[in-house]
Amino acid sequence: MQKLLLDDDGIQAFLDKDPEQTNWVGRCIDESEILSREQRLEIYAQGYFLRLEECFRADYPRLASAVGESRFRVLVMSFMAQSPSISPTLSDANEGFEDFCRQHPYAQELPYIGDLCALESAVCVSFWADDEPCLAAIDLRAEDMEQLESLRFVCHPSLVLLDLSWSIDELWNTSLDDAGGMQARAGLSERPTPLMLWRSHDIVQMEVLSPNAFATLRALSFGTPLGLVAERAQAFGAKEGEAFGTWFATWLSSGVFTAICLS
Amino acid sequence: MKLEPAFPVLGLGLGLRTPFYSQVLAASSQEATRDSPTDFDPATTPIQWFEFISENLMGTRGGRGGRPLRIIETLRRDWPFAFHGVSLSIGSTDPLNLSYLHKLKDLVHRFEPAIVSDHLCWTGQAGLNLHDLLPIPYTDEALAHISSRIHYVQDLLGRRLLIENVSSYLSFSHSTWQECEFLAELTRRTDCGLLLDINNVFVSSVNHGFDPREFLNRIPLGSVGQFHIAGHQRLPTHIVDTHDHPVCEDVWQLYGYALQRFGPVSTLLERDDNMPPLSELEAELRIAKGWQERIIHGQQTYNGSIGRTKSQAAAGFHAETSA
Repeated sequence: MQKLLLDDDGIQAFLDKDPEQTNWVGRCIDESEILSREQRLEIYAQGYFLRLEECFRADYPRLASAVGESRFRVLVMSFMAQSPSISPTLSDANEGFEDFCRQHPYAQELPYIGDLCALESAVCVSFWADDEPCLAAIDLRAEDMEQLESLRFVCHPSLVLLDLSWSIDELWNTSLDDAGGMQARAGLSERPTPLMLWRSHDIVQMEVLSPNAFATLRALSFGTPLGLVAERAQAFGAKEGEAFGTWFATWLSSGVFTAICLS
Repeated sequence: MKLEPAFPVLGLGLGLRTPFYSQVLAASSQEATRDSPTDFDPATTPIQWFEFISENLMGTRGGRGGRPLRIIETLRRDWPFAFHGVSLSIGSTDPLNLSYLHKLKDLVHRFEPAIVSDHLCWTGQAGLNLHDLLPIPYTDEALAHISSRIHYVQDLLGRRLLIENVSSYLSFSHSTWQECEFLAELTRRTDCGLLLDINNVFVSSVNHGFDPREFLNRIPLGSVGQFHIAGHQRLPTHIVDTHDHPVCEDVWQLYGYALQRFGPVSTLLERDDNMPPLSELEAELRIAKGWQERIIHGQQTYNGSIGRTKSQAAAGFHAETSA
């Protein structure tokens, strides 16, 4: 029965090519005057794809809007046919969807869909990430300040750093109702787009970072001591070196860090 | 092992879904200091408990459970709650998923929910999960298979499970039991309880052409630990259990009948799609409260006429069940 339900050609097409399954359906499934056996199976088959499509649409509203409704359906159905879920958790059903989008024929026409998928996947990850109290400047004790250079920072679980190739940030603020606007952005520019996402008061925030700020935050997220990170920032140039203090203060006040530890 | 004898009566509950997390949290005692406006008022709401989907607390891709755990940590201080699973797949021929079960066990031991439930169905085979509640054949073989699995799960969790009847759109010709009798026998063999989904009874009764009241009559008294009520979508040939509409009049009538038969049972409203404001779901729960007051506290005998005349109610039921 599972094979029947998962076939994306539909029940009747599957039965037409497999007489053994036709016999099984005739033997095992009841029918009534109102609904034939095939129609009853079709309810489940359609339900399967519709349910997953709905879930994907909820998680990838901008991708759906950018590629258009019917093509989004094809994208999800072909992904589910290739990678059916093996997890008890529905939220895991999108595992591998980003790579799938990057390699899908639609990506030849809309080369940014892989990046867009990556961004919306990251939004989900950030939104559902574990909760930890945020570190505030006031939490830094006097002894911490004395050993500032040795401090390592633990980033909040909701922090996601994305290094994208397309200017996906331009889609972030586009109204989801503006499908035309979404699709018109097929001409998004190909440029390095380093992004940070984090959750603040139950809302996922996104910010475009300069490449150097991105590298700095990534180093901090790997647990590199603050002194070493600051040193590297100086090496980016005097301007960036000065900016380091501003970046760090902004990240701290945004709730990007959750704890500190000494080297 | 000896399991606790009775089921807690929690009153009226709501399946807590993502859109309402912030509102409910903002009103909770722990988070009341936050500047989050909410219309949800714990003092006046008819909601007395919440149900969480167990899998939503298990984390994704090996994570620890994420933000929902913080929510449940906060809410459990003020509210009773239940865990309701959708992936136990008790009817599958695959071995039970032990990794899943141990996650569930950890959650249950950590949070001690008042009720733990899942469905009488299978969700996949050969390691796949279709994320659907698929029907089983009601045979002796299935009964023995599922009974042994329920025993295993109850032993592992150290508590009784409630098993829910699902909405179904097909039945198997080799079934030798009726669904209601199968459920009743499961409770006898395993000492599990039933989560009787009134909407599912109604949906299946239309899709398969049986009398929903007769279904309820065959469920043993004392075996029901929880009711679910929900809305559905009626199509020309069948009903789809969509949880995207308010509870319809026919389901309210059947709920009244169930209240009369089973007495006070924890009742939960499910809504999963086409989400209205929380206040509309609260209004639906007030309707449920009205039924409880009339049937249980008022000791009124159900005659199928609450909210409309007896003949209208009878005509409605007849039309629904013969559709």
